[in-house]
Amino acid sequence: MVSSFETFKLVIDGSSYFDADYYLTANSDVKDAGLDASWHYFHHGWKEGRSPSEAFNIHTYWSENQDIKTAGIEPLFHFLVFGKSEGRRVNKATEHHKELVENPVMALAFFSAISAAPTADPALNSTEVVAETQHSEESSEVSVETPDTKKALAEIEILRSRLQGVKSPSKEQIAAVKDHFCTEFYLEQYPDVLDAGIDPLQHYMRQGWKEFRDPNAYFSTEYYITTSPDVVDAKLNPFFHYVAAGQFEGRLAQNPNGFRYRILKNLKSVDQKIREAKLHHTPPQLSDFNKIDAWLAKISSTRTQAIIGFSHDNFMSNVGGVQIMMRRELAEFSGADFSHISFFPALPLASINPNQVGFVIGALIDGRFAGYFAASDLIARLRKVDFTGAQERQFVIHNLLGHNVDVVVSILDAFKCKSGYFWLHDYASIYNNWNLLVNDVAFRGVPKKDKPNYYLCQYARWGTDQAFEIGKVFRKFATCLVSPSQKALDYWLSSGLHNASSVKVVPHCTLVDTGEIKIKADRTKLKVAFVGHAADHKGWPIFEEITKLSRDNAAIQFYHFGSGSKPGMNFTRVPVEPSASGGTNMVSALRNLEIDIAIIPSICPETFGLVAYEAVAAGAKVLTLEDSGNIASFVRTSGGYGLVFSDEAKLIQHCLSTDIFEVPDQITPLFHLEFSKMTLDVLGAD
Amino acid sequence: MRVLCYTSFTFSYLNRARTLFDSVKKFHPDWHCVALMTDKLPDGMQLNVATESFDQIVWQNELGIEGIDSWLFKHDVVEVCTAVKGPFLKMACQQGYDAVIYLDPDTCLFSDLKPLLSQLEQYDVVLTPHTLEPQETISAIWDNEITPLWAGTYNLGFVAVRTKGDGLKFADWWAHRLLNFCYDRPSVGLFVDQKWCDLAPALFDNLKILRDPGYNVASWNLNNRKISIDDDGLIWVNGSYLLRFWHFTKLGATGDAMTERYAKDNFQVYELWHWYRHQVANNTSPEVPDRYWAFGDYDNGEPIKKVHRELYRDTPALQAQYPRPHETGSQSFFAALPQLLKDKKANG
Repeated sequence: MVSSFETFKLVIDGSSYFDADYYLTANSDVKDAGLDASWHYFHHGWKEGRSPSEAFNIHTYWSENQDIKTAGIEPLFHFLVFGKSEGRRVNKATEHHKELVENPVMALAFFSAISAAPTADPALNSTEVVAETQHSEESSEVSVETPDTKKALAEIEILRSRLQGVKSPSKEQIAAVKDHFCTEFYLEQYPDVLDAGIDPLQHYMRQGWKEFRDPNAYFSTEYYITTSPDVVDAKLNPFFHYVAAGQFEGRLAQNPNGFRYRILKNLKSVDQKIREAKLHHTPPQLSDFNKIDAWLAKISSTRTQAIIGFSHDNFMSNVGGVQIMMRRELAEFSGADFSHISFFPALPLASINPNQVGFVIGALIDGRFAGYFAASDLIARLRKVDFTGAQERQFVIHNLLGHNVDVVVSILDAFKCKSGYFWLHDYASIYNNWNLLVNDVAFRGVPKKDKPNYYLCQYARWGTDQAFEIGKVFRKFATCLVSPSQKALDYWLSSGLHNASSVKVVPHCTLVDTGEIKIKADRTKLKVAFVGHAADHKGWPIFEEITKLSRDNAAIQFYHFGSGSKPGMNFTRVPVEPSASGGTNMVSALRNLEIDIAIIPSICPETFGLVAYEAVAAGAKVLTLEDSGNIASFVRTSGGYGLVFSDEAKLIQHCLSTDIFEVPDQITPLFHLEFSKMTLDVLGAD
Repeated sequence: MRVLCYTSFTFSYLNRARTLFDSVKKFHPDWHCVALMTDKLPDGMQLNVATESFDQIVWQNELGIEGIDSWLFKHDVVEVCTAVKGPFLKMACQQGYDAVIYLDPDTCLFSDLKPLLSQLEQYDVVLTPHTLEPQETISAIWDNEITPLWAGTYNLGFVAVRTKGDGLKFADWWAHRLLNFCYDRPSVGLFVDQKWCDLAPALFDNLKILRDPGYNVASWNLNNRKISIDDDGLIWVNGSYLLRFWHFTKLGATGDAMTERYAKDNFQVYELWHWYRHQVANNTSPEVPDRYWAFGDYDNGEPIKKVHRELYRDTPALQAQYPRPHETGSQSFFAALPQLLKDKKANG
């Protein structure tokens, strides 16, 4: 392995993995003989099982690397020159950890003391040295996607089985972590523990951590275990280790590479998402056609004006922003004597469904559920209806996610529709990802084919061209595109993919001055809120980061108005669900708590961004990002409604500085939200 | 400029080579792409060049290497795949091309290499250093400065030569050294084909050290290279250099760990890796067995250990006595091995 003592000396010099003092103290026969420690170790010591330092135990290295032992290779040189680059580890923490296990109180003091001193040996900060060459892992890694996944799963299983061997924590260990454990978080994240009536802290310390459950929102058990294998080797509870020692050693409690790293790590292909959705979907029981037949008889034999609608789900049973809009529109249609049938896919998806075979579709007639039907049977039935003499039917497509476009076109054909309206609630009509994000992490305009940005995107690689499919509607029917904002319309037009018969902008709502004002509160704390659902594309992780970095800032009180966040973090949760009645719960909730600033950092271009309007109506200033689509346009063009930041780093910096306290005005007007009539605002305008 | 572009690999890396040549052909459809293969076709597999993104396969026995069985045995898979790069470069320089470019199979182009061709109008040899800037942390110094001190300053995942002047001289010199001294032996100052090129700037005058950070981006220089992707869909390095090619070294856990260490929250890097994994998976032939290499075993199926290869290559008498050392008959090197190893141990 190493041909000369001189070469060996060159390699170990400067590395604390060889400690002459330690060697001579541990081996008094060498010291008594007056021998040089490194000379003795190189020529004799390692063969006799003597370790070169406390930091490098050759028995541990041999036990973890049987191939080195079998080959009769001197382990320290091997580790420094090759082992590091091969990812082999030195289990140097074992001895310390024995102490930790046996006496956690002493261990706390010990690790606190050493945390003040920097690590002496630079090599200790480097777990690997990379020796560049091609093929260096040719024999050990054939990394195609499926084997990689299997390998990773196998590794997790091995790790899990190893964790099972860790003995139960002592009372002292449990006591040491008690103040760092978040009971509210644990019970909300793991309702099975709540249901079982088990003490959550005891559950986590004895079993939960082995199942990679987390003790609070700031500590990832899985991350800590996978990045601190020495802790597992030492048979220690990772959370206890972090609290007692790891945090002082500079070990991290969570992956520091940001939320986009997490998203990319878990990114799935569209096909895989569809497969998983199908797996968790119970096909509904099919209905008879009685209600459909009765409605068809009505609209074909009377002069009733009929609207054929499409949405991504049953908007009467699900409650969300778009669903509320559609309910409001339905009420408007009913008030104007339109009769309304609306179709939605039985299997909801975040893309269109490319598979026409066996497609099942649900129907609402004037907002009442009419049943689920095999699309082929429904279409056959519709084709038999004689619409001669009936009023011309118009379609209103709010959303085609989950739909099969051929089914949609066939239904419209069967209804003998000639024209209708297509709402731009999202961008599914121009890209395979409905929110225009590349790989769910970045908005870079409408991706252009043949550019790296396009082919790098998981969505672009999908075998179905969603824009082409949805384009069938535009190619076959005279279709008016209705956008809730000019900004969204600009993006859509810039794609150049479809020819709409006309385009309209119909904002979901406008601000109406109430004449009321809000005077800047004379209180010590600034009130800053995230408004909306805690989702990645809404920029929730950016807000989370701001609150995390502001934990020591007593001058700001953070809130989350909406749903989807975890407890036990540096903000107060104010659950606000969309009101089924169409009211403005959010505005009143924000007003009641006198929120000064709303952070709405969407990383995708919002087609409207109702929450920004709600925040402004409640007298809050909005902080947002350039990429947030209409939110940025709204904030910027209206002037005085807030600030737009070119990137999230600038936004975060602003929030961490005293600048944020300058954002609220002394006097802020309050508004009422005046909602549109949706399609009825433009119906027949052409 | 007539260009021959080649890479060197075994069947286990066919998926990477296909991905590389897909990208080369995308930007340079006129280049002649050669797969330099040191391996044998796995049982049941067929390779049809007409359906591949490379134009030609050159096998190890077409390089004119004397005593090829003995020569192969002296090298492990890393050593041999780097060693053949030299003799092939020399051969390619005599085939009427104006330039020959070597790219590792785990590299991939993201934009054209026209600026490199411009450099080759002026220079005869072009090399890319592992890193272009001094490191700032102790950890990075160990990873990205001390490692190149023994593994080589220039990354030989890439080299470009003109088939004239110093380019020819370089090819001659490198071919000779790699035929005779392409070993992974840092203790004596050797590190396969790469360490040799530390001498190249001194030995060859008309040589260009390319300092464009868009070339040969990899985990060892990521801490000085910020990747961004603009709204036109182009990928940039440090804001103003187009990403020319990436070196996806160590596809797997080790590569991930090193990439994460230096990419940190530069998420565009993970987008590139995600795409690359997908491409490699798509380009994988299921007929290639896991960890396949035809020259990794004796003819009885026993794996050839590194210590056997070292014993053989360090002992000229054994080479003369056993010109086909992978064979396992009664009078074979394999049969003599137990005693040879015992003798070696006894002799220290």
